[in-house]
Amino acid sequence: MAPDDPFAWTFSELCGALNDISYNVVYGIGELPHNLWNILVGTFGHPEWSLAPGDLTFHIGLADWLFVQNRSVMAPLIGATLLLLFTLVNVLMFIWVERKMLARFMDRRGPMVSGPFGLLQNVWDGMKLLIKENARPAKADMLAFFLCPVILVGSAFAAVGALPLSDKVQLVAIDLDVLYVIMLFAFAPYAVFLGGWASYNKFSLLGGMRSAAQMLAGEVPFFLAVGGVVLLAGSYRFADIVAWQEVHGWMIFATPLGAILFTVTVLIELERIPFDLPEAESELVEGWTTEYSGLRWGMLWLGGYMRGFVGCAMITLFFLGGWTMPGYAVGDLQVFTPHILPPIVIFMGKTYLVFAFMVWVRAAFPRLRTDQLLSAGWRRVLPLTLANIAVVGLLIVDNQRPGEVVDTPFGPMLFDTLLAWSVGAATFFAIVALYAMRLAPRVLAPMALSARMFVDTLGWFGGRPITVLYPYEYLEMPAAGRWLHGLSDERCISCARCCRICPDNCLNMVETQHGKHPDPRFTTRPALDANHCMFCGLCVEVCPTGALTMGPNFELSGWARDELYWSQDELMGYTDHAMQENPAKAEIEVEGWVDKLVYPLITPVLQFLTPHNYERAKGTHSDAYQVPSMVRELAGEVADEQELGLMIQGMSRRSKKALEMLMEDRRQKAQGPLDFSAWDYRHARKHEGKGSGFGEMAPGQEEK
Amino acid sequence: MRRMITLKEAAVFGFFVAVMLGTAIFATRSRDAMHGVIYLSIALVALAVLFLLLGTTVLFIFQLIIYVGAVTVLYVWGIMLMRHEIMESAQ
Repeated sequence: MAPDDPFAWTFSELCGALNDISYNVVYGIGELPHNLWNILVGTFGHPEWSLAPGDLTFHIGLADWLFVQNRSVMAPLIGATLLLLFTLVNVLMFIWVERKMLARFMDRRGPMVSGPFGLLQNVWDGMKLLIKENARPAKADMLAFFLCPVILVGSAFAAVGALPLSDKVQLVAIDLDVLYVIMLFAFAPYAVFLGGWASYNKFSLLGGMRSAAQMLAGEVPFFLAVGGVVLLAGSYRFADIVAWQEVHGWMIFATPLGAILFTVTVLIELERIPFDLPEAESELVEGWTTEYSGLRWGMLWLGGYMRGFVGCAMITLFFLGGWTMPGYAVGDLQVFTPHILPPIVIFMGKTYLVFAFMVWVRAAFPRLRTDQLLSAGWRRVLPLTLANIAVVGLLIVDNQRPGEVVDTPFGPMLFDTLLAWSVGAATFFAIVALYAMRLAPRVLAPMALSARMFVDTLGWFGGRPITVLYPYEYLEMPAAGRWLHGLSDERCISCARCCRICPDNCLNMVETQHGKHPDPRFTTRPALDANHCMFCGLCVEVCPTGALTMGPNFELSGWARDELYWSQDELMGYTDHAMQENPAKAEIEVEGWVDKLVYPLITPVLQFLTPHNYERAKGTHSDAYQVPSMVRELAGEVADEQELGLMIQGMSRRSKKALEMLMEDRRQKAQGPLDFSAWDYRHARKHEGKGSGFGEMAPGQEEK
Repeated sequence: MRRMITLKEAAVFGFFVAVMLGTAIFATRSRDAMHGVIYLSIALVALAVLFLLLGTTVLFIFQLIIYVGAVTVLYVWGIMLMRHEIMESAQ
């Protein structure tokens, strides 16, 4: 019988309960025709026609057969299905975390359109993979080509099944589950070789070979790096290792070197950046997955991220205390933190943090070369893992007073805890010192560089994304830019020089409808057919009064060609321009509440940590976008041209050009403030009043 | 203490025996070396499952680690290093 508190159920009890529920559902469905018949005849007043259970019914006994006779099969199947759903959701979330975090590291925004915060992006991507063609290379070996994703996903999911997600949730609860998971984790190279070989493609084969060399270099230290943990905990079971950490504190403090080495080897095994040589997209197209497409490619990704989940979960279980809160217990004394969250929530939170760290590593480091990786794996990581095992062995041999409580500055601790922590710290510092004595430039300098890279990428992570969400946000355009035309009604003298000079014949003089020039002789204005304007700017150059200008407005698009015909009144801003409508703003997260919450908190810290990054990341990456505001400010406030000239000396070339244009404009007018109205029809729209115009209708404007 | 095995257990055991024997025969009869390795690996996995059914978890895991995880991987690596044309001419 299951206990009353549902959260106290073990996983198998949950599956048993679901088994019973499934029985009731299927039984009810099987009995449905029988009951419907009874209701029918009861309604017609002939209860004697109703069927008793066991009479002529449609009950086929499926529920009995499935859920009672085969309970030992169905309950694990239900459990496996639940775990598969759980894993798939987590894989989607892993991919989302990776895409979103990586985007923020690169100052982008990442997925944001589908679903809140772009959470559904991966779902739609998966659907896209479902409907894509499942292409097969003509000369591929289809047996191995087909088996590769099967082995990859199968071994990864089998490993997930043997992982304990909390003290009560473990589908495959065998002894030696650590060995079992590691063994399944080590199956992947087999699939990679098969896929790389079977594709009959040079890139695939090269990727497979690289993968072979890399996995062999990573697998041996990977197995050995677990050795320290297993020796300390004295067991090959995850539950025992977590129990050891619950008593003694986290393993990462006892064997810090082991934690670092294990993380590195997991990264090598997962083929993640900086160790993603088999998929080096700059050299091999997509590495050993080049020939895979459609759902098979999706399966490869699924397997890869499932393995990522297993790797992060293993790091959590081995070194970060698994499903227990931080802290340790001495006897009845719970030091630091009791369990306040469900264990599975703690476990998954830690796993996601580990994965976030892996994404951070991906953002921070470039890809290694093959020889660097092999040298690091065989000549650095492997000896260090052996040293780690030796130190842990000494620790166990020296542990003569297990269970004895010692007073320390940090409070009462178990003697073996104290020993483990101190020897772990001593090992770490001793190895660092050893390397520092002989190999300081080769070891410490790269270490410092690595730390610098971590901090630098963190600075990018905190900056505002550079992505401008056009059409909801606008870049500030350079003042020197000349895109779409604008026309000043007051200045145009209807001389038609622009029309004559236009090499494309896209300017025509047309009677204005709304013009308000006082002289009735000057009432024709150029109308622009932007369909074949090439923006050469000749019309602006020949304009004697500066009436025709090209300004920072760049939005030239429409659903029909008519919309690209700008009549004279539209150029002057008297009538609205029919552009395509923007999609609803609510569909896109421009700046979510998380951003609003996080930026004020994280920005000062990052500004202190990485000022050089922050200066660039806080919004304006090119001086092209800084020019207009600066120039407008200068031209508006500084009256003395000599003073202005001094200031110009310190400006960039582009800024100088923009400023020269503005000054030229000022000199020409010599009175009044700068007139930007003709540059942007949005401003020009503010002009009011209707002119006396009656003239020919422009082509495409007949409807109005 | 010995007990009679049930029919279900015998069926499961027999299934994996059949898989092992069948894939082993395929492994020896296949003309393509890579297919031979694939069948061999399936046979080794089936053998490991037989160990598991017989109650020797340690043997099961080490069978998988050593034979499937290491030996067949080295086989595949060796075959990958060969030229593809060699195997095509053998067909």
